[in-house]
Amino acid sequence: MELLLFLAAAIRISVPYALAALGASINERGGVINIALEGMMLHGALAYTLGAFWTGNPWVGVAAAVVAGVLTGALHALVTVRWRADQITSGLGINLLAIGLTKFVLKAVFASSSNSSRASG
Amino acid sequence: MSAVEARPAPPPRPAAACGAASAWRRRLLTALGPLISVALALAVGALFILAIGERPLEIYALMLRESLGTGYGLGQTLFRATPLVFTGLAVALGFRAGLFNIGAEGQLTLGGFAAAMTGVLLAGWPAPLLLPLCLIAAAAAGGLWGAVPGALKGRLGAHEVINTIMLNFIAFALVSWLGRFVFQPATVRTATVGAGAELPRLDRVWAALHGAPANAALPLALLVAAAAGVLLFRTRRGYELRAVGLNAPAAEYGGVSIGGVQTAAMALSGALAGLGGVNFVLGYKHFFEQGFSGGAGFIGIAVALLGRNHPLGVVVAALFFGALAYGGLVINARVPKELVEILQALVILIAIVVQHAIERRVRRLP
Repeated sequence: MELLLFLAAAIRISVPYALAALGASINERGGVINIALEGMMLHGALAYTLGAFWTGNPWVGVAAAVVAGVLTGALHALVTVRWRADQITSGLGINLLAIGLTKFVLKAVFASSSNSSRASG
Repeated sequence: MSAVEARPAPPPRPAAACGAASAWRRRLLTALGPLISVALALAVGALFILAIGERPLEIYALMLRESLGTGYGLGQTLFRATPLVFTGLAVALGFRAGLFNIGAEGQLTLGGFAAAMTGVLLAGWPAPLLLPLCLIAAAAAGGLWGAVPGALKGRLGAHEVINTIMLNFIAFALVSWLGRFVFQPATVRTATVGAGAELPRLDRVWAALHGAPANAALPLALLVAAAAGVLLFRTRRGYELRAVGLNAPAAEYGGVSIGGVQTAAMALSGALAGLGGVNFVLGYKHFFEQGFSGGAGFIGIAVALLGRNHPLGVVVAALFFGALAYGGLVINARVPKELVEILQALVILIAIVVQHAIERRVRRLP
């Protein structure tokens, strides 16, 4: 039983790592280094929270998270592919942006820089 | 002797005159880049201020007035700019050697920790001995943390970006673990350093800054910036470093050891970042506290970018980001202070695009 719980926890905790690594692999295959994963996940998490909080439907939150990730990736692509700027610097910039932006929005919407209200799902 | 030297001046060549003019245009365009980047970042930042229902110009004016317009505000700005000079120089030096040091945050943390522990363990020592020892400890700790990825890059070709990022985490964890033995009970801070390790506050000699934490780490930072300028542009070592950064195979053909320069550059870069830790530890709180850096290591990347990897540019850019950091606290009641983090990120993203565009244009000049 103990072992089963441990394995279940390991699988649960590995999900974000697996998804992020999958995203990074797709980037690497395309020849773009993606240090912005952290920022993409932060934006996704915030978008889920807002989507799920406002509609009460967790699937809306998931969709919002996907859209946020796509938009963040599009920003990275715009800077590095369209405008040919350095990929690592762009990734770092996006990570810093996400740290500031998520706290900024949390404060504006939930009046706290560290927590949102409880979202469904 | 004048008979020999008084040769007739060569006739003016149109090509040379044209070259001088374009050199000036080149310089102007290059200097314009950072200004354009900052202006664009502030413009995008204004959208965030509007979104929250405030007036951007009023907010920016308030930031400017409070961070540079009063003696206390200026002192706060200078205090926040000081570590950024060190980390900005650290990143710039790496860039000049063609290396990206993302580990300044970890190097700064270890530098501050080493300075504090030296000041605590040798607390009774007199200032003329203790203070230099603390500074050396900070530089050595940061330097060691930079030399590791430097040597891995120089000897094995391992990517310094990945290694410096990872060494950040190891540095934070190392300090946490060491803290179990040296932190004060139920806190995340060390004991206070001996009086001999304290850097004096600037308001002792510059009364207008009264009450602000700006301290002797600032003149130290300016000295180090000047030294970095001399090293980069007036010495053989600096020439080798820049040669490796501009074209490593050509430098090697000229007799420079690429690996040696890379290792030394990263060690020096780490030492600069480590020295940045003394501003808070020896100049302000007089103890090490976890998380004291406030992201100065990462903002150093923005400082180096905006300062175009030139020591003078780094000092100016550090002042700008220092003012921004304190300005964020001033406006916090009306706009979340995280606006400043957004602005820092925007400056990075916009600066790399703008400078890339300008470099392309400069290359097209006659």
